[in-house]
Amino acid sequence: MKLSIGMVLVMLLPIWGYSQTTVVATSHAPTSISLPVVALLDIEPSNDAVVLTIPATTEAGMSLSMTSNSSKWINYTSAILAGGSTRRITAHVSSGSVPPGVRLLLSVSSPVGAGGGSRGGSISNLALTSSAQTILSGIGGAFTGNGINNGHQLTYTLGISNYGSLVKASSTLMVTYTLTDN
Amino acid sequence: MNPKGRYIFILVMLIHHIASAQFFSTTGSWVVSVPASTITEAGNNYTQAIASATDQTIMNLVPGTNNGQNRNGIWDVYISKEDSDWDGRLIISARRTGTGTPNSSNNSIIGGTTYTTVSATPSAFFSGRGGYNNIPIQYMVSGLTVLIPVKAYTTNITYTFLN
Repeated sequence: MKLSIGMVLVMLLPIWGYSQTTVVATSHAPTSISLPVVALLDIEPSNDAVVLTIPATTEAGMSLSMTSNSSKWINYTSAILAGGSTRRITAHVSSGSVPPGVRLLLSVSSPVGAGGGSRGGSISNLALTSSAQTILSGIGGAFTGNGINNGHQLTYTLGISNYGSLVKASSTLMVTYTLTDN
Repeated sequence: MNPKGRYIFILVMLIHHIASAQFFSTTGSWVVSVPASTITEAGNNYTQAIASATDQTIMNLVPGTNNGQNRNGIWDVYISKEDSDWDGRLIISARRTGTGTPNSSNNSIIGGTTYTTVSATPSAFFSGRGGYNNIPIQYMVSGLTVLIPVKAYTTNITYTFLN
């Protein structure tokens, strides 16, 4: 058998094809990362009691003055499902009761500090009761930062609701905050 | 050409073809679920990146010895990604954590030992000369934040072998 020019060309074709098709090769590694739902809330700097005392007036005929405490902050971290509903924080008196003629008011500041994301707004002088009431809403993926001066500052105020019902009394209340889905 | 010459020619062609044979493969995907316990304190965001095993992907490669480019066994590996469902705040990086096993004592491998950010555009990862087996590769995802909606995000890491 003679080796024709055509045969040589046919034999060379693999070389040409090889040099064109094997210069580059690719390989793939699928990667998937799943993020978790997160819902954390706490009160800073601690859960120690806030003591509010209405001082006796020193001048006959004067009203009793209101007393406030702004030492507590609320911190939270929230990660919500894609397309999921936002969250809210409620507050209620979970144990104890306010003495007669007195009411416990709560104000929540706008978020400050190191946080970010869709945080709640603010509220002023909400009278706390044993029923849960929304104090912050529209919380999405968000974090407030940790510790005092981060998140929302809480201001408790003890005010007089009815002078006619006032008696000398002392009471211990527990206020519970809950971060919940809408 | 006489029959003997013809057989020699064919043999040379076969040897050439075998000697030029290139091989490139990777094995090992990375599927990770970030534990909810990663954040332990209310108010905090994620503070750390998540890293895979140091040998999450294993690469094997054999360059062609004469593929028409006159590179004489020198090769380059590029890395890129093709997103399926990804959030731009998530940053994925990769690094080579070992040399693997060379097919010959004269082989060499260089680069890629520090994390390289992976993007849609191929970037040089590491390079070398000669064949290697079991080159270990580690991944890391940073940019984690609770602001990113909760679900699974997927991308395809693509390795391109240039020889």
